[in-house]
Amino acid sequence: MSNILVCDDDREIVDAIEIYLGQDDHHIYKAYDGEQAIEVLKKEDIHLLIMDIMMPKLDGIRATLKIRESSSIPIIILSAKSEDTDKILGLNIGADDYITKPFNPLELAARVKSNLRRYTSLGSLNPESKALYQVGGLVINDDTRQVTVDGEPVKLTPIEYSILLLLVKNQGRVFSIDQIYESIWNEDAIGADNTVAVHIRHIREKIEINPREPRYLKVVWGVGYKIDKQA
Amino acid sequence: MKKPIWKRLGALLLQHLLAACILVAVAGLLLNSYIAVDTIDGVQVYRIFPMDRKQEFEESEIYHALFRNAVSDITQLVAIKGQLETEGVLDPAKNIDVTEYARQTGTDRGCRLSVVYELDNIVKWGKYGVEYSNRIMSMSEFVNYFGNCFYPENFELDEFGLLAFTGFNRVDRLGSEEAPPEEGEEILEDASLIQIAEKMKEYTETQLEDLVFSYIITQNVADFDMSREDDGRLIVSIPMLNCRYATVDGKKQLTYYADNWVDYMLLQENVAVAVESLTRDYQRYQVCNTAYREGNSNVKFMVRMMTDDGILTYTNVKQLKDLEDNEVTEFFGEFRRYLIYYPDSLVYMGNTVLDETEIDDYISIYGYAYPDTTHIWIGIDAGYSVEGDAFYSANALYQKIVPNVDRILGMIVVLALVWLGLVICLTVSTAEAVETGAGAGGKRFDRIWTEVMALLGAALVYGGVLGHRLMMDIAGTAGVIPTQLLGIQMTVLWQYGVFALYGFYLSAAFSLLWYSLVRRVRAENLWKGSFLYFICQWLGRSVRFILRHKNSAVSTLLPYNVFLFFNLAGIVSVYELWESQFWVLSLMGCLVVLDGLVGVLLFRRSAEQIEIMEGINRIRKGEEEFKIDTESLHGSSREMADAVNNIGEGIREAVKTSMKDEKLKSDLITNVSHDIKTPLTSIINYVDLLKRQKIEQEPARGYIAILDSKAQRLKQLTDDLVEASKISSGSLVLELEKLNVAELLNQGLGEFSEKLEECRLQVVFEGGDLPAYIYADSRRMWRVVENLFNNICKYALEGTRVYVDIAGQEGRIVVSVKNISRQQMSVRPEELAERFIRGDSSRTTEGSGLGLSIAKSLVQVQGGTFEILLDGDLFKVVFSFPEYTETVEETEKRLPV
Repeated sequence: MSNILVCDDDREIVDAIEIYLGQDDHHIYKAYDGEQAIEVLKKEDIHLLIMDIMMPKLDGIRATLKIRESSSIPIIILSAKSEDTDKILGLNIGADDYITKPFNPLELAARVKSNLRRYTSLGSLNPESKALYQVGGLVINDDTRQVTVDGEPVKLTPIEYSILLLLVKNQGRVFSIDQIYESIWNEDAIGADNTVAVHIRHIREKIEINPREPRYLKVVWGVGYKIDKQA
Repeated sequence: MKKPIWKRLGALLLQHLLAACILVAVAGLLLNSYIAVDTIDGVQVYRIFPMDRKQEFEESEIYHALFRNAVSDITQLVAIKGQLETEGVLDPAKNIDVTEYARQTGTDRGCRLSVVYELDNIVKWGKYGVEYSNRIMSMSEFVNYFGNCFYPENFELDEFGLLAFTGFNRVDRLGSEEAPPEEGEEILEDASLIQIAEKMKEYTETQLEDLVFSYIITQNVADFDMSREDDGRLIVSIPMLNCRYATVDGKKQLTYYADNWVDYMLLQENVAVAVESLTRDYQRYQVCNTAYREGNSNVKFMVRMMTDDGILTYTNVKQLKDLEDNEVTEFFGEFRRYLIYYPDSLVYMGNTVLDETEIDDYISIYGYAYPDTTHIWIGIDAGYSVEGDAFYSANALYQKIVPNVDRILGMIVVLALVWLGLVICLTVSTAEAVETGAGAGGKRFDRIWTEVMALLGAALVYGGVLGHRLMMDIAGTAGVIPTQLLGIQMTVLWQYGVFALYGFYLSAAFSLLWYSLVRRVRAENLWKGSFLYFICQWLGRSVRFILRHKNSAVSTLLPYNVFLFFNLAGIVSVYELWESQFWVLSLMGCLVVLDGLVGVLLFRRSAEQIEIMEGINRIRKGEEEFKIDTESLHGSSREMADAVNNIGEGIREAVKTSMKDEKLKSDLITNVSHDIKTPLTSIINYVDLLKRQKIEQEPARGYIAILDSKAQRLKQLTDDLVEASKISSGSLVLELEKLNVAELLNQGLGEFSEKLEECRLQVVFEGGDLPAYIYADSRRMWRVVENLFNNICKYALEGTRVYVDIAGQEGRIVVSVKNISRQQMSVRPEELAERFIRGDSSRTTEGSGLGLSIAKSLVQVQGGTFEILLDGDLFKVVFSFPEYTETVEETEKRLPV
């Protein structure tokens, strides 16, 4: 049960989001421009903000900048601007996530959930266990061979688990298909095929909210796969 | 198209065959209408056709011709008989006095001497031919050949008191048996002779010889040749008859009879005449005497003449020989055609076309043989009882041919009319073919120059004329003299064949020229297709060209001509002033300087042009900022360079403007797509919400599904549209790096494995085991691969295989993706990569139609090539990149993006 502020000049979209998130027992506050959003934030105890960029009076970017002066709540930008530059700009000014319109409601819900969990239970992990690897919301416990994403357990096959572990252990390093194959199967990759690629896709489908735009397991096309080092 | 051609060919063939038939018919007439007759002058050919149709044989032209021939033969025969016969039979031993003979035949030039030969010797001699041999002697040998002639009797004094030779009055015959009289002691009685003898002593031998020689020359007796030897002596060359046979006196050489050159030469002339003409007469006699012997000929004749030797009668009817003239006349008067002529009493009777003057002409050939007392009777037996003579065979042929002439002529006319009709039909159809464009200019023959065609026509006409001559030869000698053509003996079949061929040739040559002419006239290119027209056009173009480029003519042609003129003038002047060294040297110096200057100018101009050319090339290659340095250029080159610089600036402006335009367009599309996306978001979300409503009514569920899929498609479309416009506006920022295409494809196949399996597509990936590095933007490359695989999933036929190949070729990495299309492709491969084009023109399938276009643009933007190939249902995409090397990285980095 969280308080979520949805801010978009398109009322229908706000209503739709209210319906989706209301199903997850969230309480939705509505605002239709940046100024309204700031006002609501001042009055209410808001846990998460979903905001459009192109809005009258005060646009999403400036509103975010203003909010960040006083608040650190998760902000998800929901915009029709799908350019890379837009995303980078949004994330750089303090947004936690960026979803492009038209969006998948399930994805939105998942991201809201993920952001809320990280905001409310960040740092609550048990750091003693040496066999614990964490990348953002992705946590691998090598003792129990358990993988959780934002606290939700994920079921992986042994090979998928090995691949993910390899990548998580070597965060930031790009592994080519051949390298992954050689380390997991322990044999020479003679004529690499798409076996590894298929496994990777399966892993992505399991741990990512939107496998096409993965947060953790990233594809470096024509080079290999990697998991970015979390800041 | 094929059928009319065959039809036309058939008609043409028919036309030529008709012509051949006509000529065969003509040949039938011609080959059968000639008859050969042995006459006194050899074989003569007479033609029956065509004058004498519908007439009796006795009234026909040929009859009269034959009659005329008979009269000519007989008159000559009779004369020859008089020469050669004794008592009515040929007498080989008959003595012939040559000078008398010459006198009779009128060829004698006053010869004082004569010799007598036997007839058979003369004839034998004549058969070998008369030959001369040249005798060469010196002047004195010549003058004294027959003996000394320097006697006063032979000379006289002219009015100036000079000696002149008057004739061989006295000759001292050398080698003659009579001893010469003692001339030296002879006393000259005549005073004038004494005077002459005195004078002669004043003359040298040579001078006297000259006098004699000039006398001989003036007598004009023969062809003496005179020449002067190197030592100054005169040499005389005389043609002397080779006497093959001896005279009746047993003397072989004619010199025996003569005592001087004048007499000898005249005698020799007479002998030659006698030998030649008697031999000819003998041969004629042999021919005619047999032909007109009694029982050999239907021609009956009798010639009777009173001579000094009594009455001579020549006839081939024995019973008439002893009859009186009037009885003979009665006998001949009964013939169908006859001729009776008594020149002395001016009696001329007869019912032939021959008139008196004609028979006089014949008689006059041997006029000496016919005294005025001659009586001539000639008649033709109308029963033609004697087979094989000229009249008999002519009559037989005449009876055979003449009745059929009309039929053959009729046939020829009909055939000719049909031929003409066919020609008219073909002419009309030819003209129409040109009209409809079916044959207009289509025939190669019509495209050759009109003049060439005219020449060809002339050649063909000449061939026709030659052929006509040949045909006439064949017709004239047909059946008479064996004809040969190209060494082949002409049988009757051959003769008809040659005629048919000639007919075919005439018709073919005619149609070749005529139809071409018709086509040309119809297509109105008789003039336009001529060489003259071509020349005129060319001249016109040249003149127009020069007029249009007046400035160039003034700036180039004029100075060039002046330059030429100065050089020529210089050369001429140097030649003229060769003597004066100063002028020559200074002129040549001037010329060298002038030519050198011109050379330098030319060199500079060409160098500057190359410089400008380089500048143009650099601008063309994309260096719009490049400027040619105009400072170093001169005259027109500088103007040109300025113009080029202006063009470069213009291009720069244009590029800038177009980039700006594209950017504006791209921004517009981006903004529009944002505006679309916002309502689209609502649509998608509420459709999704509707789906969650668990609506039970079946049609409503279907409608929602449709709304859902269309909304998704709209989303896809707007995304693709933005991307495509971004690529084409050049606002795409590339992050080039080294990447492995094999890895990329493997990754892609991994991503798509499920989707491909759904479509039951089996992927065969070749060449993925080797790294294939290129230098490209990895995310864009992924977009390319993604679009290709998406395309395959959408359009490939289910249950087929997809072939992905990767190979290195000549420093390039070439990737090809092949699949079998589900639907028949209704567009051309090059169109498939255009924006908004899809394989199915109905556009009912999902997709924006931008996938391949985006892929292609992305590949090209990254410096690769992208090609779509269609082969039936096989759909193939090939894209290639330069293989990654360190240098590629270098060059790629410099590439403006």
